[in-house]
Order: sequence, then structure tokens, then C-alpha cells
Amino acid sequence: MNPIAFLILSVLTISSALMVVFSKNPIYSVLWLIICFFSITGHYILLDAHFLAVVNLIVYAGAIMVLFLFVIMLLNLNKETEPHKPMILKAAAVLSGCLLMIVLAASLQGYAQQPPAIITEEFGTAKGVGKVLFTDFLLPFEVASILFITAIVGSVILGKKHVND
Amino acid sequence: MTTLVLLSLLGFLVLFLGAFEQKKAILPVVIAGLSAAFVTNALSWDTSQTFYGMMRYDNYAVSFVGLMIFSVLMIMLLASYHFRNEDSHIADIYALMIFTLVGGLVMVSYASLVMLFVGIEILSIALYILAGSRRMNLSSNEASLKYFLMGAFASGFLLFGITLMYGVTGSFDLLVISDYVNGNEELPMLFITGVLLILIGFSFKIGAVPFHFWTPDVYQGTPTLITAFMATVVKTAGIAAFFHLFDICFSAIDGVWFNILWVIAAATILLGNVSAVMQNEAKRMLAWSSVAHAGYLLIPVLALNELSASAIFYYTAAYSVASISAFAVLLGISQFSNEMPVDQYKGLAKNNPIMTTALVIAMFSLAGIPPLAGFFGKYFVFVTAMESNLNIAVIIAIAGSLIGIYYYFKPVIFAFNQEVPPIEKIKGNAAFNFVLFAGIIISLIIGIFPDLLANLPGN
Repeated sequence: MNPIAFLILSVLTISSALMVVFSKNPIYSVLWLIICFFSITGHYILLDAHFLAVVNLIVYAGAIMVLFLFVIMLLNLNKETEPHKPMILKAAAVLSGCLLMIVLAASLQGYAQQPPAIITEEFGTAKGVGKVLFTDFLLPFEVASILFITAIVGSVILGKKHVND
Repeated sequence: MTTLVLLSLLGFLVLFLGAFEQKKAILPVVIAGLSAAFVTNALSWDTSQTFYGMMRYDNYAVSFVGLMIFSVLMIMLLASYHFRNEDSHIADIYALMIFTLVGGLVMVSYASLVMLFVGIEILSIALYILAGSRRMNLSSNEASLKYFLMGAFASGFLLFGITLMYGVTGSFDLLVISDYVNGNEELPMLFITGVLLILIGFSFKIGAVPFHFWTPDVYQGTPTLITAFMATVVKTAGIAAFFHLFDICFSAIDGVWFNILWVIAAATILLGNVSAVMQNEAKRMLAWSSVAHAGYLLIPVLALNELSASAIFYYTAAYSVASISAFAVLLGISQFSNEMPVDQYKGLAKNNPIMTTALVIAMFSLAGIPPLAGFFGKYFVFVTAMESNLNIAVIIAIAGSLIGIYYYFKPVIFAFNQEVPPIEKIKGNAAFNFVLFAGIIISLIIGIFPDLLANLPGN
């Protein structure tokens, strides 16, 4: 892993993620989120997870973000309609977020010295992922189809026009 | 495995029947299919197979799946009464309920954390939609959205925990994780954080304090029939999955999670019962009571000894039967309304003897009055706890049950109230009456002969 590339990508990821939160305009938030997803894709490439990188780019930075933009434009969100949370809620959220961060950061201690895992040639490629998916993880892969049919039926129920409702 | 395939196919078949407008055929097909699934499930008894290292169908899974299929069957019968005048999207709702059951099946038989996650998501996503299935009702929409946001958040915690666990052990397999726990004297902090995140995720899903705040609103806004579903099938699957994971993987490191879970269980019992006392809304009261029952169910998880599985199974069985009866009566009185003050039970007894009997039995069973099933449910839970010297937890649970008696008796006393004009006779169809009868008889039978179910999950 290239340390300089990692550093640049990390700074980009974290600062764009912060901008998502701090932007006043929801459209800007979404645009920053796209940058954030792109830099996470960069991380995946650095970690040799090529297939995951491509999927992340297509699904998240592509499809999901378009969906986000559509919804925000349809809802016509702007500064006036932004909900105002009471101060105590904000303080509680900041506090619990910081606590979670401390716990996670503390739990990482001792991991810096570990040697990197040894990976095979096929690791992270479409071929390698496909092989694992259709052998070791065949059953969850098949059961996930039930998940998708459930989601499809659900979107039909919620989206269909009913005569008497 | 046969049961999993059968249930999935049944779901698809119901969808097709709905698409081809065969409304009359749906209910018989659903009932026949569920009965067949119940039989194939029972035939797997004592076979204990592992499929692809992902799913272990042992007696534990068989007993909980059997219980869930039974609950769904009862709720389907209620659905035929509830949707008697509706003809638009029944097939979709039935199909979603069956898919929820598939999710529940995966959740009680997983041998890998991947399967656990897929199972939980199937169950949850189907429920988010079912909660919002009355689309033009504002409170139903609100319930659906709230449940979705909270559920997605909880899934995030769970997934984060699973990821950390994978990062440390390099496997999703429960047995590998368990070997890792037993083989290492000192576990890395990352693993412990993973355990705690999974604990939080599960607490969200079963609605334990302090992750319970979605429960009352969601239970109230959801159509009553689906609320019955949430209170029984979903709770059964959630607690069974919870116990399964902690029993197999984390029993050796109870120092990590014991105190946290102890506080969660005690707070759940106390807050659930105390809040239920203050409700004037029947459905909200049942919602808080279900929070309290989640607390009782956490005690065997805390105790984690050889009696725990049986105690959880018996308790969920008793609780499911009583809850379905209670919700059936609620459904009969309130019909399509999402709101029903407790005093609407007033004057029920005069013209509706069967419904009143069912209500009395259900409430007494939930309160834990002998010789009903609920009493032995609590008894087994307490015995399990005493075995592991959890005396203070038992005292708290008993105090909670005593508080519980107050609000469980309220509807019963109201039902026999003669000051108000009695409620007209509520006409239920055959299926509705069957559910009421079944509720009364089963609560009595498994209460009088607790041995029938007491040792079922086995080891």
C-alpha cells in the first residue's frame, strides 16, 4: 500500500465527509458525499479489492447518489424547511458520537504492529469474489434472493395506486 | 432446509395467486402450505444437519421454527377475518408475512454471521413494509418510517460488530469464533467492541431499554394485525437469535457483557411495566408490556446455562399464544382503528362470552397467574436464573410481574363493567372464533401440562 496515496485519500475522505455534515444546502451535501464515495473507492483499490471498488463506484457513487439527488429535488428541501433540533439533542449527539469514536479508536490499539495478511493472486478480482460467492457463500447468496423479492414486493405495495384505500 | 425451500415457494405461489386474481384460493393455499411446512419442520426433529456450513438445523431451530409457523398460522387466520371486505393487495401482504417467516427461520438456524444478517434483513425489510401497509393512514406511515430508520440504524450497529469480529477472527463461522474465544486467554479490544456492538444491535431489534423508544409509537401506528405479528414472531426470532449467538460464541467471556446485559434486562423489566401502567391506550399498553416481556426473556440469556434454551422456548410459546389472543380481541373491538382507549373494553362481557373468556385467559397468562402458560413461563425463567445465582435479577423480575398484574387486570375488570351500555355482539367468522378457542385451550393445556413443551429445544 502506498502511504502517500493513503494519506491523501484519507484526508479527502474525512474532509468531504465533514463537509456533508456541515453544508447548509442539501444538494451540496450530496455532492460532497459523491466525493467521499469516490475516495473510499480509492481505498478499496489500495487494499487490492478491485471488484468491490468497481461495485462501490457503480452502485453508490452512481445509482444511489442519483436517487438521493432526485429525492432532495422532489422534496424541495432548503434552508427554510430545515428542521431545527433543540440544543440538548445536538449536544447529546456530539457527546455519544465522540464516545463511540474514542471506544473504536482505543480498540484499534496494538493493531499497528501486526504483519499484513497474505493474499492470493485472485484476491479481490471479479473471478476470486465470484468463486467465493458461489461456493462458500452459496446459501446466503441464494437466501438473499428472498430479501430482494421482499423489497420488490414492498415497493410495489407502497407505490401502486389503490382504488379504495 | 426443506422447510426453508417450501416456505419460499409458498411465498411465490401466493404472489402468483394474487397476480392472477385467485382471491378465494389464497387463504386455503396459505394454510395448507404452512401446515405442510410445520410437518416438514417437525420431521427434521433429531436429524441435526448442517448445510454448507451456513445453517445448522438442530432441535433448537426446529422447535423455534415450529413455534413461529404456528404463530403465523394463527395470525393468517386472523387476517382472513380482518381483511374480509378488502380485495386489493391481500396476496402481497400474505406473501410478505411468509417471507418474514423465512427470515425468522434463517435467524434461528444460522451457523454463520452472514446468514444471521441476511435473516434479520429479510425479517426487517418485510416488516417495514407491513407496518406501512395501510398507506393512506398517517400513523401507519409514521410507524413504518420510524421503524425503518431505527431498524436501519440497529442493523448498522450489528453489521459493524460483525465486521469487527470478522476482522479479528477471519471467519463468520460461529464455531470458528467460539474456538477463537476459548483458545485465547486475552482477547483484543477490537473483538470486545464487536461483541458490544452486536449486543446493542440485538437490543434494538428486540426493543430492550434503552433501545426501546421506537416500540410504543411503532406498535400503535402499525395496523393491529401486524402489531400482533411484531409482538410474537419477530420477538421470538430476535430473542432466539440473540441467545443462539451468545450461547455458542460468547459464553466464555461473560465478564465482557454480563453487567451491561444485566442492567439492560433489569431496566427493561422495570421501565416496561411501569410505563404500561400509565397507558390509557390499549395498544400502547400491550406495546409496553411486550417491552417488559423482552426483559424477562433476557434473563435466561444472562443466566446462560443448560436450562436457558428451554426456558426461552417455553416463555416465548406462552407469550405468543397469549399475545395473539389479546390482539385478536383488540382487533375484534377496535376493527380498523389504530387507537383504542382501554375503557372501550367496558361492557364486553354481556354479549361476547367467547371473546371475554379469551381476553381473561390471555391477560391472566400474560400476568403470570397459575395455572396458565404464562405462570410456568415465568417460573422456568426464574428457575433458570436461580441456577446461575441471579437472585437480585429474579427479585426485580418478580417486582415487575407484580406491577404487571395491575394493568393486565384493567381490561378484564372493564370487560365486566355494567355501568355502560354493553357492546353489541361482535360477529367474527369461523377463523376468528377458531383463533380465540385455540388461544384459550392452548394457554390452558400447556399451563396444566408444562412438560409438553418444557424440554423441547434440547441440546
